[in-house]
Amino acid sequence: MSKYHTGPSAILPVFLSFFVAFILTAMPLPDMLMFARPEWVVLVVFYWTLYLPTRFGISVAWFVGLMLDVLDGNLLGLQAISTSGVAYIVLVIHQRLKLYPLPHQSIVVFLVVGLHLAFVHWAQGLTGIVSSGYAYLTPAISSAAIWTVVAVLLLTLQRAFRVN
Amino acid sequence: MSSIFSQGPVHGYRLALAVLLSIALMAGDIRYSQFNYLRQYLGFAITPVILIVSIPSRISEWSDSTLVPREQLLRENESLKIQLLVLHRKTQELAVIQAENKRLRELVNASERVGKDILAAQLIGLDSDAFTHQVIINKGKDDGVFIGQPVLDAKGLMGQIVKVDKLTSRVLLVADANHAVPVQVNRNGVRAIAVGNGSLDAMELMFVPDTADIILGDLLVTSGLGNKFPEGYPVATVEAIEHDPGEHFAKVIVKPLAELNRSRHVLLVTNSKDFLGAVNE
Repeated sequence: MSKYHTGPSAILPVFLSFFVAFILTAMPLPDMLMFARPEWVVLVVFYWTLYLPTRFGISVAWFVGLMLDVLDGNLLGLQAISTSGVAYIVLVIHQRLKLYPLPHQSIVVFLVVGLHLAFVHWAQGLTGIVSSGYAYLTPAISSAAIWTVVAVLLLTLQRAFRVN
Repeated sequence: MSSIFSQGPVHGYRLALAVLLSIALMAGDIRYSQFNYLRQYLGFAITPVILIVSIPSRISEWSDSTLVPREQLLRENESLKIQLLVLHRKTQELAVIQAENKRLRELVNASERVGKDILAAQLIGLDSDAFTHQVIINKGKDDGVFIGQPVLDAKGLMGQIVKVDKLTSRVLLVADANHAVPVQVNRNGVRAIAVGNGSLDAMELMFVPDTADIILGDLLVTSGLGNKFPEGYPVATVEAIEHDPGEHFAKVIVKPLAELNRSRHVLLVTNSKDFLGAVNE
């Protein structure tokens, strides 16, 4: 198995980036900003599946989604479906997507995060009362807006640890 | 992990597997309480995140209590002493009233109320979802917290425990849209159900007839019906009543007494299980 791994272990940088993403997700924010909190964890899943598609995939994304469920107090597995779906979409299109410049990628981020939010909102609606209206989609906009920054930061991290 | 898996329909199978596994987990989570153990152990891994997130507020709290001038502390001490005196005086009356209550209860053969023990806890986090009202407290399974346990603050009922991890647990606040609490008007015992409507400082009473004797400013306390909350804790005061001729029921807006967005110190009623048993007798 190790002969496919050209670089050093990816565990540390991936773990670090998710740890920070989880902290940003749980961080208290003023009410107004809270509605527009980017989906940090989904962004990080998006990045690693896009740039390390052979080493990071649906399984890890599923586990990360499960931890997100625990953090948010959701039904176990609800966001796990969604994050593995995100990883799947990115895996299918990663060869094309990697060629796009970052601003173009953020349009795809907008769509994918929007899908993720819509799914989670729908699934939560099956088990309880959820908000009406489309305000729950605001994080898709903020996630797309901040994608460029996240991608550059994670690229720096990836290079610092020489993961490829 | 190896690159032979990076092509072809294998992704589809993996996704299908992930989805099936998730659905099984969700079904199990709804059906079987054993899944709480799994959640507790996974929650253990998440605890560092929650602790780190609470550091800034802890620092500000620490500096609030450490870096204050001596005069302010003295003043605060003074006012607390006065408060204590007032409370002591009230407790003296309470002893007499309790004794009297006991005698009266013996007269009508009612079962005695069980004394309530409490466990103090502290808020360490808020829910990151903007659309729910949940908070995280620093007591968990190891401290004997259980699901459904009522949570109070100094002013009134705050909510109930919905998730218990090993070291922390999650409180659903009374103002959440998924929360309802059976209440009665303290003045005359009219019963109703107070349901959260998503705003932090308002709840609604469900199915109140237009003719019900509820007036502005009425204090609502838990009625103990439904066996979730012990009887007699203040919940809210009536803030607005609308009578719409086109509707079947009156619209009653009430304001929670607990400081849902301010309280850092909360109380868990520990032996409410026994207490509820006593009510059932």
